[in-house]
Amino acid sequence: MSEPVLDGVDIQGNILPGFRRAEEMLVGFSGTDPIALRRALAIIAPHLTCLATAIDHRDARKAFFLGNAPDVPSTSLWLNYALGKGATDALGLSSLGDKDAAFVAGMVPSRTGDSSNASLPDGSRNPAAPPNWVVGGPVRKLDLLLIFAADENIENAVRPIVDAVRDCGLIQIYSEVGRLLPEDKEHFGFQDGISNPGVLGVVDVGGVRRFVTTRYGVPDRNGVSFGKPGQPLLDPEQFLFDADELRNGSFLVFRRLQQDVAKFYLDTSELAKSISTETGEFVSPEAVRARIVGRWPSGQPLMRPVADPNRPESQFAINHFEFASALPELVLSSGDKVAAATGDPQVANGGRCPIWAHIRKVNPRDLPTDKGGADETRGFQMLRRGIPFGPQFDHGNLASPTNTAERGLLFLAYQTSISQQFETLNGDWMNTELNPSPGGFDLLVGQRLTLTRLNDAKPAMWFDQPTGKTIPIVASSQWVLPTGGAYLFAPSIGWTRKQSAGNSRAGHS
Amino acid sequence: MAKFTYTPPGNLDDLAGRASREQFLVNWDQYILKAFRDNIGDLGDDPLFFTEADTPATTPAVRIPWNAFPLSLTRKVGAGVAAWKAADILQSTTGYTPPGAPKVTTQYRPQDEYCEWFAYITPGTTKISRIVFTAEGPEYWIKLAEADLDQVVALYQAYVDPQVKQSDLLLTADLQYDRDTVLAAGTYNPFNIWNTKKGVMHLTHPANTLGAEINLAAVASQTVKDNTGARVTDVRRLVCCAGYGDANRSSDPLIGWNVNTTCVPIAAGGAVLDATLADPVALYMDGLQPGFLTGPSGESLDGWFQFRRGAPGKGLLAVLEAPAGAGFGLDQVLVKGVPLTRGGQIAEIINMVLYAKAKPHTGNAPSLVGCTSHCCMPAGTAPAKIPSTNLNQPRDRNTGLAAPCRNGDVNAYPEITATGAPQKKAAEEASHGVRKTRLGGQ
Repeated sequence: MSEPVLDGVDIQGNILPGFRRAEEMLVGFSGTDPIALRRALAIIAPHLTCLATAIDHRDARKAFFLGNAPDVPSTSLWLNYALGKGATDALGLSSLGDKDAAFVAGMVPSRTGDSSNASLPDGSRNPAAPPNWVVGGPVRKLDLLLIFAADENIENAVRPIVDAVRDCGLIQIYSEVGRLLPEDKEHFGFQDGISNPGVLGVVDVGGVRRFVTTRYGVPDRNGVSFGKPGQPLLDPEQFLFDADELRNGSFLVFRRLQQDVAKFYLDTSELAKSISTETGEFVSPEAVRARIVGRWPSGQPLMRPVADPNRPESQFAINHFEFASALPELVLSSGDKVAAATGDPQVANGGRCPIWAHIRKVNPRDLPTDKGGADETRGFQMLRRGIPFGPQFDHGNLASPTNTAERGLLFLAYQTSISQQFETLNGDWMNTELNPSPGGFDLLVGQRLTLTRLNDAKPAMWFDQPTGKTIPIVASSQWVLPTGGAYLFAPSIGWTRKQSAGNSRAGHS
Repeated sequence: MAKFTYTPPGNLDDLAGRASREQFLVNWDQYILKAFRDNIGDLGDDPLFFTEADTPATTPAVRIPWNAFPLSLTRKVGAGVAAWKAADILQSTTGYTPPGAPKVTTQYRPQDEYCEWFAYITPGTTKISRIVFTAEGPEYWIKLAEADLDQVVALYQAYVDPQVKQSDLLLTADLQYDRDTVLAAGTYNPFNIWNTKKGVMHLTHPANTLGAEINLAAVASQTVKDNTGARVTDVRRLVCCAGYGDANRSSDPLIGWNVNTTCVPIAAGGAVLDATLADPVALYMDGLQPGFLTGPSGESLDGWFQFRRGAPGKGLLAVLEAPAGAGFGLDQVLVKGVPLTRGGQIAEIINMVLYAKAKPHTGNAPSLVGCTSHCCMPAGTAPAKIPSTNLNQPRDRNTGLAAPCRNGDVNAYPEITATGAPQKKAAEEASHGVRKTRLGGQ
């Protein structure tokens, strides 16, 4: 194997391969006193979960689900962490500033396109403005974020560690539990995380050298290797630093994204009615929602039309597509076949999948963009490790008290350039009508602000394939609101241990 | 119906009220039309590129946007401060020296995405007073100076500096501007000091020309195939194979791909179309991406960026400066939360755009042609590193044919090794080793 060898015990496991446990709990602290921080690191260092542990566990779970193992492995509490700019400065990680201006500037509205007006027009508090955020922003500065994962009872399991970190002199400002929803869906009801990229490289686990991302016999295309079909294997340097004290560390973008499920469903139903009127053909609310996402709730992409989108193709097929080009049938190393994919003859209009569909906005795949071609687009991709928070919406009983609870996504994404990766996808693409191709905002997650820095209605062009008509539509509400977040750095486990050396006793004093 | 004519970029009317206006407009129309006809002629039978002087387009103008900051510099030195600095370092070339003449050195900006800029400093300080961005093709100014040099001087005085004198703008030696055109000593110098070292009026990079835009669009209308006979559609491979533009930019691969796949959609079932560039033919600044420019209190300063020539969507010259009564200057402006120190920071949030149109193709069905060019990279470059590597497109300086990779470089995409004869156009492009325009005489 002539691939890079990754350090399985030095890299935090949520970066690679990702935790993917039933429950996660994020706990945030403020404090930039270096002594307190080192004490905290001394507490968490022994508990940190590395790549090798996480990948071993994932293999064991996979073996169980495939029927090759008698039981799901029982696993202890996992822990990863990341530091804010104030904390990295306090701990002497000054070279981070040279790596990315975004990390220095922080998650500020002028980089993210977030609302900065603390009040709404009716005088009420604007939850999307960073001063009002639940976590992060100028008021609740996030200096240390702990990311716990477990299969159950996470709140009890984390308590001793959280208490001990608090005792170090850091101020706990936040804690929130995330839980996987049934069928791996997010709160709007769509399967999530389908198109995460893979990573080139091998790692030694238990004395065995293995690929970091599993290969399935997908042939290379245009010089790109693949894990699953449609899962490009990218240079690890896109996600992990490779030199000096930053080695095996990664920037972490954390966004607490509140989702308004009721409004999403109501608005898309209204949109469906108005589009039906305009086109003279019935357009269902489900179809509108699918076009906004670019996939059906089952994960079936619009680029791979099937008779019943509620019955998706296999997990190997649902990411095997480009937007313009056809892809051939595949025969995987398992012998499984994946049917060919056809390109969109009207790709410039978004005939099959809208130009503004979320999955096309953030990953236009084979299409050129304002910032280069498919190579560059792959270079913007991140390792997304998000998990939903809040209770599942009760569509069967809209009056259910549970529906008034807050819910959303704890968006977590690892990368080595926030400005080139997260901010390109977020600010340059989702939040604009023009890029990566002209045609509309990302109606799902994008933000469009007025001059008063409040969220405004977002336009897009609905292309009606049968008639060839283009109809302007508008998402009048903001269905996803950022209500917290920060740009963070997730150091290597080795660096963490060095920092904490000699502080373990003091940590409990 | 009125006769179709090509109008000046952005419908500028720089000679309004002057005797020189009428003839200039005629000359401009003829000049652009000739560039279209020359390029269409080079495409052979049944071209997929046309001029609206022959046939009206049937589609509305389609926008093709790209980012104004040079992707090639980001690849070369990394994103951020290093790239912003590199973009401000003037480059020199002797490539415009006429054959047999003593070497003539000219200067240009390494800003190669059809947007160039200059930061003016307040005298006696290190503070930036204004940053000016241009997307104006040099041909327009050469033609304008041919028609009315006095007005060119007046425009420089208005937009660059009141101290500009006519003599500052004139060549002191002949320049071989392209294969067909010699700019004689004593005529307008597109690389004059007020457009290089001391200011900016129009584009200077050898590749930033209107002729290059027309040529690129024309050549890109041809569909090309790799060694196996399969159509090449990958964005960068398409540039390397077809030999138009520069594979290292955001703009050229994007423009070329859009033309190529508009003419012949990649997916089966799409109609074959002929493409053209919409009148007025130009490269434009669409505008500034909103929200990224703020003042010390977080207030939006988007309004500090104003078009002085052209308009939003079709901007040709823009200025970023503090308006009267602002209370503070550019030294307190933040771009994405970072203090403004370089024009490149603004270029990164400028959208460029050009406009294309189409009509149904009525000739024979197009066929795939072999590659006429290839791209080279340093030997040993790992496949995963090719995207972040600037590629070379070597050509023989005399013949214009694709030349072997040099200096130990290897073919970046061996599967699309050049197999066909190069376009006629390639010969003239080769004279300076960069993309160049055909500035045919009237």
